[in-house]
Amino acid sequence: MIEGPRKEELVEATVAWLGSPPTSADGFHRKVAANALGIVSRELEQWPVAEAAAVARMRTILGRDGDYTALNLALAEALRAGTVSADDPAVFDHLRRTVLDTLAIDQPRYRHELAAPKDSQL
Amino acid sequence: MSASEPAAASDPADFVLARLDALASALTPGGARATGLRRLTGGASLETWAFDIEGDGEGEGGARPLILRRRGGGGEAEVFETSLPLAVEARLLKAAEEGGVAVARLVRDCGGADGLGEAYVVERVSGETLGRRIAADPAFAPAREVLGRQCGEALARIHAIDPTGLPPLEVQDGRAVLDRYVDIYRKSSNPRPVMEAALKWMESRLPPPVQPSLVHGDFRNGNLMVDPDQGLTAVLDWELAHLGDPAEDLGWLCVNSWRFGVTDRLVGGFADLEVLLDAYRAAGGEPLSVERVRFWQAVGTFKWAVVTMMMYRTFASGASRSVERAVIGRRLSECEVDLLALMEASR
Repeated sequence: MIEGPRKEELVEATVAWLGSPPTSADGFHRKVAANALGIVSRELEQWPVAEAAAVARMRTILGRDGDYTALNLALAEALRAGTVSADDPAVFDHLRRTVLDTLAIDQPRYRHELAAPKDSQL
Repeated sequence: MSASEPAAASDPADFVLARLDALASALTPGGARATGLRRLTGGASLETWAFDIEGDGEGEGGARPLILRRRGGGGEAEVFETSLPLAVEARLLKAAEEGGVAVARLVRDCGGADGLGEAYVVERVSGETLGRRIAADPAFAPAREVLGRQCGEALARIHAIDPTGLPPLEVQDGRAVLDRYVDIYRKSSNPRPVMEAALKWMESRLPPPVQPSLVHGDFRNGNLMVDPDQGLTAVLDWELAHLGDPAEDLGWLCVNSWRFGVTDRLVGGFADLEVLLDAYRAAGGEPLSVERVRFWQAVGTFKWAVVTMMMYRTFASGASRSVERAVIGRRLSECEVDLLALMEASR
């Protein structure tokens, strides 16, 4: 469910920092930049597969076609309107998988209490 | 001590030191001068300074360690413009101390004549505030044994303070807090499936309205001063205090972001919820259901999600071009995972 910052923004901001004059806080900013590029690197590697799987799940839930952005927005609107519910196990399973795929890109070391999907190898 | 270090002409340290020097005898009996001034926080408009007051006499017990909190000019815009005036914060500190809450004792609420602007001085309490150390450092194991109970007691005492004796504070019940953050969310982001699902979950669990209590508003690991052996020594950061549901404070303390990786200890990464709730009740707090605490934990997680959106917005709008601000937007996934975990636990 990647909306912002997009990977292009992370790369642009990091390039801008690399081109800026040195400061006393560069040790900190270097870590932040490494974190940002780590996110971009994982997104390039992992998101295409995760996105295709999310699209397939959302097509089934919503009974319509579309790309990730359109389907994700439609799902959010349907949840808001109450025509789709997270109490539906298939919907919850989709949210779980998508959010865990996103976390694996954004903050893979974050510790949390959400169970892995049933058929996961983890 | 480094008070005599040369500073840039524009350095506010010179200005602050001169004012504190002039206040030395008012800040401590026999005080002659302020020394060792150093800034503890930077960036935000709210400044925190550490300093000592020294006397001329011998055998006076040495320098008195103090803290100055002060609203400086300019600085980076706050994400929230909701902070209380420092004079109100000073009144709350006084009331908390009188109510038996561990706080840094108020030494002086600085009026305009002190020349420091909006400011107050408190005693400097020793201890650690870094959440990660408090939750995981072996040196803090003795503190973790008692901290859950101490937090329950401190919260019960805060919530027992009579609001009629306090300056007017905003009343924010569950509905009001939720509405405030939903409004920011709708303005900051396209609808997101997990956020919408979490909203439905929270709206179906809104607690019934309660008699408003004093709520600290930011009671979490990171805002607690902790001694490795004695545990809680001071509850800090009162600037988000308001009137509302006392369960709000307990829920916020349980938000996973404040457990610093020690996820299985629900309360700040250092204690179990039963310990907190039992101590809260034993110290006179009203019995709170786990469900009500969970509701507020979800609200707190949703709130933190909205903050990450706002931080990213300051980057996207061009107000800040730092990588740090951009990358905070990717912490939204942490909040969404935590929201789903809360929903799953109640299924």
